Amino acid sequence: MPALARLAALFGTLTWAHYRRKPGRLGLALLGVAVAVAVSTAIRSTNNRVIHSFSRSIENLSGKANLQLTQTGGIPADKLWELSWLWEKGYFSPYIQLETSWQRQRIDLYGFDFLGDRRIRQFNLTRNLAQGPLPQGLWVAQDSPLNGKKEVELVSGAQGRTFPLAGVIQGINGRLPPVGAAFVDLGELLGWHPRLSGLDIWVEQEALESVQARLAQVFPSARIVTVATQQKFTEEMLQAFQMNLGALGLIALLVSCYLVYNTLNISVLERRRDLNLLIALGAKDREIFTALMLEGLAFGVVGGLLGAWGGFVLSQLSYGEVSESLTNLFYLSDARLPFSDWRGPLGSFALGVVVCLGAAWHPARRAVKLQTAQGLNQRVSEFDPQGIKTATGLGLGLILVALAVAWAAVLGHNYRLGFVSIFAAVTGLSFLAPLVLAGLVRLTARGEGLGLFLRASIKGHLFKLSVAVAALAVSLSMAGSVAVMVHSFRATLVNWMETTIQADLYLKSESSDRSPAGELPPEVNRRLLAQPWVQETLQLYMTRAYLKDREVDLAGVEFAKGQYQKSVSFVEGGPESFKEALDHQGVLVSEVLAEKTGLHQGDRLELSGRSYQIYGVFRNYSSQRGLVYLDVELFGELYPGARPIGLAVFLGNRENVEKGQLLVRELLGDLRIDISRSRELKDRALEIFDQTFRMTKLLQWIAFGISILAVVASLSAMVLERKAELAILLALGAKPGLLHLALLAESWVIATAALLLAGAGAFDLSWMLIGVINRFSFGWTIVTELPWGELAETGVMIYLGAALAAWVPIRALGKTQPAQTLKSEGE
Amino acid sequence: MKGLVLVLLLLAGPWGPLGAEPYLQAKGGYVFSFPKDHQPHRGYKTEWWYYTGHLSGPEVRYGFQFTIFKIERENGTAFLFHCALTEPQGFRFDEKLQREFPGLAGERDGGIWVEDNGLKIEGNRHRLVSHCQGANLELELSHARAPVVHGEEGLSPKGENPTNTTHYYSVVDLSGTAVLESIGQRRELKAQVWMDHEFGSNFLEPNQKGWDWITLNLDSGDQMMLFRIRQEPGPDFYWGTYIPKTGPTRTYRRFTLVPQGSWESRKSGVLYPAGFVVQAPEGTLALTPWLKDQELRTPLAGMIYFEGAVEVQGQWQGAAVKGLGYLEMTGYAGPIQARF
Repeated sequence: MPALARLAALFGTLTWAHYRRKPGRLGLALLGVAVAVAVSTAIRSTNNRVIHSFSRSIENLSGKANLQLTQTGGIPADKLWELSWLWEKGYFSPYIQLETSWQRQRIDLYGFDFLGDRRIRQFNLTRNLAQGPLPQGLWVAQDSPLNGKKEVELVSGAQGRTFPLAGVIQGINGRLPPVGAAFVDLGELLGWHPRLSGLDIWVEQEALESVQARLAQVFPSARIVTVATQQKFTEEMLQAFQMNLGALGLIALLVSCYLVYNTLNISVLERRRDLNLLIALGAKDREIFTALMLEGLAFGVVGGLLGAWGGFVLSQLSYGEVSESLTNLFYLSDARLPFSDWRGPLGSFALGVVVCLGAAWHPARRAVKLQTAQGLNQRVSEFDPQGIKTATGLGLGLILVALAVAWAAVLGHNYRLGFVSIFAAVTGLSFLAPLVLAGLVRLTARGEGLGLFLRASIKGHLFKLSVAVAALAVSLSMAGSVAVMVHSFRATLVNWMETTIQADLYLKSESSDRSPAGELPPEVNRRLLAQPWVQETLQLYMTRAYLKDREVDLAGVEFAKGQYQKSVSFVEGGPESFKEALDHQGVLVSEVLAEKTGLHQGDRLELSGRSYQIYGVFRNYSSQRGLVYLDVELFGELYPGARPIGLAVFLGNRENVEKGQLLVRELLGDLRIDISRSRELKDRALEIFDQTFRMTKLLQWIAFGISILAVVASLSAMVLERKAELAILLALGAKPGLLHLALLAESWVIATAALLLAGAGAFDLSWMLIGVINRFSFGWTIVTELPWGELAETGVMIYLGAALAAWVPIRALGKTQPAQTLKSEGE
Repeated sequence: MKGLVLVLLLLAGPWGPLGAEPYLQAKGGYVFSFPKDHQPHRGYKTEWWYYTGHLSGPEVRYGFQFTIFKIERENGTAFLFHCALTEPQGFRFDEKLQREFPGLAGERDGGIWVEDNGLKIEGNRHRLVSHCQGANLELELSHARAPVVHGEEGLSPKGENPTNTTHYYSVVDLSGTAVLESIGQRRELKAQVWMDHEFGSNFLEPNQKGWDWITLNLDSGDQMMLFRIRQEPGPDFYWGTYIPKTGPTRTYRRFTLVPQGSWESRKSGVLYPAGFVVQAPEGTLALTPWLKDQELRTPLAGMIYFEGAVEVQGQWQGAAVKGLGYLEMTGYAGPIQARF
């Protein structure tokens, strides 16, 4: 018989025949793989699509311009005459970009030069231009929420302006304009916001470098980047986000790996008699090994396919959610981007197959090592002191590796190493499961009756149960650590806001909190200060600036005002830093910026061609790019004509802030200004925070669900394996309730062991997440605070979950017919 | 007159609607004053500076067109640049359209620019810089004769309707040097150039389908600007200016333009006259294009027209004459009004 045919026959006898009789277990294992692959697929696909959509948004807006020139404070238009040499190399187009709002929904308004801009022609506007009407009004994408309206009022700089809808921009060659954007002729915006935001420049590739160098001479303080660099920044910006979600997806896969391992291990043990008969009948070890690896492969392929499909569905659902969060946080993305990137599902499918093969390897090796005599004896205890020692050694070794990598991560400020350390640590801890389980049995299961049953049962199935413990411990570690991290972050944010948000009212443009669209008219402050009920106001100026290629937020604040000084929490320096910076025209930088650039108090910072001494480093959680504080006077020198984008108002009567809010509303009723009480501001910040972590929570629960499946699988296998024994006990008059209690107790012993391991795991993981990963990827200091309530809730959940897991085998036991079972066992 | 075609397309084109507008009108009594009147005239709907001429060197000759249009509308001002170069090996042309905005188009340092194409007039000196589909041309020109003002009281009529008029003058004796860089070659050439500058706010009537416009430089030293506006229904409208070598210029209407044969553009399918004969009491002049294909297809302006160098030959005032000229033919791609 040819080798392949023999293998196929073996696979049929060994695998197909076996799992046909065990549909529940087959379903559980496949479900575990599928869910894990689905989660991983969804994360990868969503991330890929979001990144792709970002670059598409950039590309669509820049029209494949290969250079983009921007300058803090805008581009002075008169300077453009100095670019006449550029026409020989290519062409350029000025634009204005404004963040506006329509019915409090963000709309990015682009003022392009409809007449000269060649990219606009790509959106089929040219035809409309040539055919007739003036290019006045807004042009939007087909799916834009503005489409179909007769006219819309967009708010910017605390003032609304009504634009008639001119038409829909048709995409060509598959390039669609972004949904969240509206386009208008540059001329219409020049009267509203006269500063140019930037220039898009198209030049031949070979002239790129020389043009870039010459542009830098004309605009020495401008940022001139290629579109490729721009895209790289976007990807970098999303990297930490992607890493966090990706790691959680991989942990879900790790948990599913345990589940597959357990399923295969149990199945091998169950089929020992079959296996040994086959060996006795001449099947070779290699063939048995290959057949069982094929079984693992089949799990991987079938579960992976189901998972990839599920992941696709999940990604459809999560994409909107994620892109909405990202749009709020960073930039617009095109939510209609069709699913076209198959790397996500394929990659996760492949990973699922590899995980299943890895999980099958040990059971397959174990199967061929079985001695015939041992194999014929169905009741072989899994209690193996040598095995426990080996697993423990391996576990401790991995934990040592994790510690070493963590040390390297801290020294190198490398959050990626932090993830490696986490993986090594959780895998190491899971290898300690047999030791913990055995120790727990020795401590808890004493005496006769239930204790004896428990001891025998757990020791006899130590490895199977250990795998369930490991799966549960990993997901609990993850859930616990993420809960600690999120809670600590939230608590830190709350504390920071309590220190920072001390004024009674906060004013900003309805449209945006960023310059120039968010600028408030100067009369706002004047009007407020003229009121007897206003004690003081603090003005905030803001713009974007560039430290070399790094984009940072630059804020002008009133250093001299005591109210302001009290609201800053310092990491380096103190309140005196304000006076020093004021006296010497210096700056203060945020912790994020200090972390990302390595700059500290006493260092000098190069900004727009000038050098400033840093007099202090302060905490700030509002800017992910990093924040530089300058005194308002210095800010005004650098950006003449800039207006504040925010105002903090201290009322004379601080007891009645609601009344103050009404008075300010009345006073500024003619302007489109958001007036928030400090409480409202804090609540809004926390709302955004919670939205950001919604996805994380979902993943936590999915991993937890998979691990509960692992416990169900282990306990069910144990019951099935011992059904003869249990049948004898029942036949001898043992009360079913007692056996049910025993199974429940076993499940809870597993939960307890998992909790013990998860405690250590969560401690390690939360330290890594808070102290290494978030610290080095985002640059924020998070003060650890334990979410006792949530942890207790997780503890209760795990015991409830364990009880639920015990219910499946209890139900199976309830259906057991002792006589029938004994009869079949004897055959 | 020459820029009329482009003006028309812009009247109803992207930059604004026809009709009620608070623009200045070309009216009688306008007194030209130079060099001030070389500069842009704000408040008129349309204005153009139109240079056509001949470049010559050892065993080589070229014809060129250089035009800048200023188009004012309610929501801003745009500048349009058209250029063409008639070379021994063929014809090339280009166009640029930009809004008035620093760096893109507008007035700078006393000059008028569209991207990197511009003209600057100081006294009697004219400097032109043109980048035309890879041919870079720089001209340094000057003139001795005073600018020729067309029509009476500074008004050039564009039909029988007395409100359809422009202010129109020409500099007819511009000469100087040209540097032409093309296909990796740099040539220094002699230049003979005719410049038109025209501005106004009202031009054609709906029944006017197109025109043929001609400038002529005869060996005898006499010069002419002649055009006919083709009207359907109605007889064609003929108008021109006769500029004798010496003596005063005069409005000239006793002539007809007779099309000679036809030439069909392979690129656009448009059928043009292959040449013209000027018939007048003074004699007959035959105009033959240097190249048959001197057609501009300009998508930004939305127009297809012919603008090319011609040779002139015939009998004039009883003597055989030769000369050079420029010919513009519009409206052959379809009635202009119907296109918009």
